[in-house]
Order: sequence, then structure tokens, then C-alpha cells
Amino acid sequence: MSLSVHDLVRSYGKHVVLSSVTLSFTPGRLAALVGPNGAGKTTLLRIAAGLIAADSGRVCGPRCLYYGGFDCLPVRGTENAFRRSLGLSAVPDGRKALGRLSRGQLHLVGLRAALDLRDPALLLDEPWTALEPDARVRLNERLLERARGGGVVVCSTHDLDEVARIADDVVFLGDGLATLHRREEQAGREFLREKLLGFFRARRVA
Amino acid sequence: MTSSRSTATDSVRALRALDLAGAFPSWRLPTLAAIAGLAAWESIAVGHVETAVTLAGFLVPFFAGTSALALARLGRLDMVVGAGVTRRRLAVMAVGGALLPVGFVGGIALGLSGVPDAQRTAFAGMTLFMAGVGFLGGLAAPATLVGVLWFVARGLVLMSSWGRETIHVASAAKLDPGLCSVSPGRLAIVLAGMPEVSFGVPVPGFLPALFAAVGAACLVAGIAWFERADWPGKRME
Repeated sequence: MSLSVHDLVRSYGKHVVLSSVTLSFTPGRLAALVGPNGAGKTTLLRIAAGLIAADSGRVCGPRCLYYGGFDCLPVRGTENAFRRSLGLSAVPDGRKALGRLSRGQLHLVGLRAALDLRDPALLLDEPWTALEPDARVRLNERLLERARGGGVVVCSTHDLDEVARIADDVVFLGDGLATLHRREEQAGREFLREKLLGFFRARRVA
Repeated sequence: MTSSRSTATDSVRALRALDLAGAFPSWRLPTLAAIAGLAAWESIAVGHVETAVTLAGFLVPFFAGTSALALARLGRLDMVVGAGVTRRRLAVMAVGGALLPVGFVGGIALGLSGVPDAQRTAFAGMTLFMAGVGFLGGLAAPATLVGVLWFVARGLVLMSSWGRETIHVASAAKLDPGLCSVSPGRLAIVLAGMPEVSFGVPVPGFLPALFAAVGAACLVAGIAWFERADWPGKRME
């Protein structure tokens, strides 16, 4: 089941962040959401997850899980206690108190829980932040596995290398509008990277 | 059957998530145990539980404050919502988690006390009032804010000659109901600032009912607010 948003509008005071955004995220394809700071990436994902309301427009599709980094994790308990609160089973190395973990370790705890939840569409906000190179590789494998298994996976990021490496679809968000670019099979990494840089250069924020 | 099982499971998950997020501070359990112990000791040694009940009343708004919406706005409950627990269930369980211990200890204290039923009912109504206001006021603010403000309100009542006189005159009605010449409005103001007064003085029946209704309305408003408010996460408005 695809996740789609129709004519989404959202303002913060007089500042219009999303202006009639219409998009569809297809199951089986990994989508990346890119755009300058303040373009509305987090706002769009949180609206889709039902965490904030749009001024107008609608969201259709499966239940969504938004994960925005270790700030979203609880402050007490262990990884296993956190996982039980999500209805997940314990993991062998999950007995350490969350308060004793580094930021990178906390981020991995959150990502592992998000990826272990089978049902929802995954909306990940800057998932590659604070991860070491081999953790990024493992994350990419799991994201692709999830997408190829028929799930909806959307990652918001500024990391153009990772986008060029694994994204099937790229949504450019800026000036309140969204443009979806679907990568064809023959389009290589460099082609997409040039597209991304062109998008940012056009807004003088690259 | 499936839906009732999933409802119960969701409730447990909601309580766990709220607890891990920090909505139910760890000082609550030992404090509740201490009050229950004090009530038991008082009832045996002194024959009444006035101190325990007054202490419990004083702590009700502290227990009822959860900061649940403040935590949700920080993103601490994002994942449990993504895992399928609804915002309404989280709100209801926040109310339950805040009020169950209060009801438990309040029940013990009132059960052990030797005061007339009318005063017990009055105190129960005032407890609901304090709990409702404490929950609503502590939803998006620091959890202890309402408790601290109520502490100040008690000080104002006790420091003002008007407040002290109202309590003294109302207390006299315990000896002779005909002596009570405090107007309900005046008594209501004192009760709002110092609800535990209702345990020691006769109070017209409609006043605790009115305060209880306000408390219940605060709980309902809190649930609705929690359910509908934006949870902006990293983007704090």
C-alpha cells in the first residue's frame, strides 16, 4: 500500500513551509527526501506520521513510524524495556541502561527498533547521522531489504552520497513545493548526484 | 476477543512508554508507601489519620503532574505511536498512571479515618479537583509546577487573616452547625486554595460536587489537548 499526501499545506505563523504538496511513496522503492534546512522535510514526515496536523490536505496510506534520532528515545530504562514498550522482543545485548550509551549507540538502538517493527511505513529523519561507515553499510542493507520486501521507506537527509548510493526515488523539497524524481535503472550514482547538486545550487545553499 | 487483548496490550505499552519517557517520576512509589505507612500508624496510635490525609492532599497535584504533552512534544513518544498505540490511549493511560496511586493511598487514608461520611465524600471530591487541575496544568509544563503553585496558594490562605478566619468560623460548625455563618462563595475560595480544609470542616454538599466536576472537566480537557496538540519534535515552536 503506497503512502500518499494530497495538497498538504502547513504554515508556522506567516511562514508557509509546505504549500500544496502532493506526493506518493511507492512500496518496494526507497525514497529520499532532500532539501535545504527549513524546507519542511521534518514537517512533512511528522504530518504523514500523524504527529502534527496539516493546515489542509490529507494523508492516505499505512500507519507510519517516524524516527528522528536519539532525541526521540526515552530517558530511562534499558534498550529491552524500550523495545517491550513498542511490542518488540528483547535482544541479548539490550540490558544496558540507555543513559549509559553514547549518541551513536543510542541512534542504533532507535534504528534497530524502528527496523524491527514490521508493519508501519518507515519515515526516518537523517538516519545516517552519527553512524560509523560500517554501521551505515549495515543500515543501507536493512533499508533496502525493507523496501524490497514491499515496505514504504522514506529517509530525509542532507547526505547526498547516501542518497546517490541507495535511493530509488528522490523528493526535492524547497520553497514549499515538492518534486519527485524517479531514478531509472540505467541512471548511475553520478547522474543523481549532479541532479541533487543542481537543485541545491539553484537555491544557493549547496 | 482479539480487540480486547490488543487493547489491554496497548494500554500496558502506553504505560511503559510513558514511564520510560519520564512521565511517572521514581520518587512517587516510595512517597506513596510512606504515606500509606503513616496512615496505618496514625490510625493505630492516634485514632485518626489527619496528618496522612493532609500530606496526601498536599501531594495530589505533584502526583497528577506528568508533563506528558511536554515529553510528547520533544518526540519521546513518537515511536510508540508509530508502533500502533493511539494518542488517545496514551492520554488515558497518562491520566490512569497519574491518578491510580492517588486513589490507592487516598482510599487507604479515608478508609482508616474516623470522620463522618460527608467529609470523606467532600475530601474525595476535592481530591478529584486537585488531580484534574494538577494533570491539566502539568501536561505541557514542568510536572511539579501546579503542586508548587498550590503550595504558594496555601501560604496565601494561611497568611491572610481573611483565610484564617474563614477556616476558624467554618470549623466551629463541627461543634454546632448553627454557628456556621461562612458564605459558600467565601468557603469555595478557601477550599480552592487549600482543599484539605474540606477534611476538617463541614462543607455544603454542592461545593465538593462542583469542584469534582471542575476536576473531571480538567481531565477530559487534558486528554483532548494531548490528543490534538502538535508534537513538533525537533522543531519546537
